[in-house]
Amino acid sequence: MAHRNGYTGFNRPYLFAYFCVIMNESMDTEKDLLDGAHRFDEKALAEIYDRHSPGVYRYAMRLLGDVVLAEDCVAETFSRFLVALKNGNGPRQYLQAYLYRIAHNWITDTYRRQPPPALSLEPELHSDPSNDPSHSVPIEMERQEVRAALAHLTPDQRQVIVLKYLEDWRNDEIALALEKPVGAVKALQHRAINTLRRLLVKEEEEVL
Amino acid sequence: MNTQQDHEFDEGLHERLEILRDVPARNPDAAARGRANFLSGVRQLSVETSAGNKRLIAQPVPLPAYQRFNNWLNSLFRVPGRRQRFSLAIALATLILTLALLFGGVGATVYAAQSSLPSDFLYPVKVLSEDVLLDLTNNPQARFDLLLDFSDRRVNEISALAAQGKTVPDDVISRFEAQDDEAFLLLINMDTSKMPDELLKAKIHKRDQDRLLGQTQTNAPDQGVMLELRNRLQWQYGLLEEGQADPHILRQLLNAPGNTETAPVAAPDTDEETPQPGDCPECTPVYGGSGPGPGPGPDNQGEVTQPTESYGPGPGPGQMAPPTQSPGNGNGEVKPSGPPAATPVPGEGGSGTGGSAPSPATNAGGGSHNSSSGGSGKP
Repeated sequence: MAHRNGYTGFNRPYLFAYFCVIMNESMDTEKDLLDGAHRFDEKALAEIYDRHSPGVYRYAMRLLGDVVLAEDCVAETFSRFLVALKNGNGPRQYLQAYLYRIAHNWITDTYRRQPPPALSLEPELHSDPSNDPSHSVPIEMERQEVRAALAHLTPDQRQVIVLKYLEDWRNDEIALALEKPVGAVKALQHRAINTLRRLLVKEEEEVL
Repeated sequence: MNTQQDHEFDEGLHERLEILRDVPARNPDAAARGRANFLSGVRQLSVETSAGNKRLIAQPVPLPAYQRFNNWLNSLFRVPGRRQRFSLAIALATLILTLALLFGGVGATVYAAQSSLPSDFLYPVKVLSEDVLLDLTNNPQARFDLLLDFSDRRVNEISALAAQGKTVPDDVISRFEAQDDEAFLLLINMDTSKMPDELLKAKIHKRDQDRLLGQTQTNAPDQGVMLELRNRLQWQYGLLEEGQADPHILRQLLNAPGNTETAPVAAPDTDEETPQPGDCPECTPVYGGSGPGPGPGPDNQGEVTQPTESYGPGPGPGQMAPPTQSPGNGNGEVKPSGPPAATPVPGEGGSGTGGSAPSPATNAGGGSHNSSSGGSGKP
């Protein structure tokens, strides 16, 4: 957690300059990739897939906990991206936020098709058989419990929580993905935390 | 719950969420299949897009004719930096507006010219509009009314010019005479049943015209013109009174010999052959004749007055006499068919020429009689 609470012992101006250089290079590269994508350049589109599909997969996997659904989410996200390019509506910047927004919408639709399970201490477990069951089962149970708590949030609250605490995005980046102001992101975060606190802490107290 | 508790709980909540951070490694085969599917979609999309572009280039859809016409108009009236749509309706509206302004401008000019005087810039427009109106009017009754109105206009113009101390142009008087003569020709050719009303109408016009000229205060240099005009109007007034008493007399008077050139229409009710000039050369009236014909007044007996230009009311009351009383030859012989006024010599309108009955249409008698040559020409 130390890296989230602030950097200590480093030269902050130097880090800021380094960050700006990296960001400029990254933005230039992303702009080139997007220009190539709008020209249906196969190389540029392959580079985009290689760069962003693992992150989308992780994002889907964390929320869905299902390998097949996560793969479907990746495939559907990039398929919608191609359709948007075909219609001339693809993004000109902030490609990562755009792709995560598509993935989030798809996951939200999946949640709607499959109502969130009730919080239970006896879920059906799908642990890795190669691991030690005595260790993997409790972990998987806790994962299911947290996913069930996340499923009770609104889509925007869920996206804020996952992007901020699991993907380590800044508030301005989350605001781009949600297409909302930073203040609205903070408000969503506050309400999501209250909800999670009520769900998870209550469960802990009941367990204790 | 205070901020410290929130922070502590956030730390605990984050630890709970951290359990989702670790994600099992992605299946390489599934990842490869997903990538291959994506690139396949990319290639298919690229082919479709390029084929679609080729179809668009190879087979352009022609626009309908009216759209091509509108595009052409747009190219003509395009304003840089502004998108315009010049429809056919706007083009027609522009055409109609242009025509309305054009003809509206002409109409306004003609309307403004109706109150102009001969010295004004628009007076030719006024004269031209009168000619056009006359050319377009074929009904004799309407044409007669129109000519009476135009003669009123001329008298008003002459009165206005005289009041301003300006000289009356000759063409104004000539125009007045021409329109007046034509009105009288139409009058004598009208049906007998209609004549009383028209005679009364013409008489009222002449009376009003004479009154207007009589009331005009002028210091114009050629006041003689006004006097001559008044004499003519008063003579015409008397002529019309005679016509009211007997329209046949008016017809006979106005179709007297010597007027045949400009008054070719013979009176319909007369059986007499119209005397022709030259039928009786010996009948040419000679100054000093002592025939019984009613000549001019005694004041002009034997006097010869030089004519003034080409205007005058004509002979005196002698012309009222029917043609049968035309001039004597000094021997007491009267030839009814003689053209007593066929060749009246200017300045010889004195005694012995009283038989001449010049029509107002021709200012018979050479048109050179001044007011005094006619003697007592007043009715």
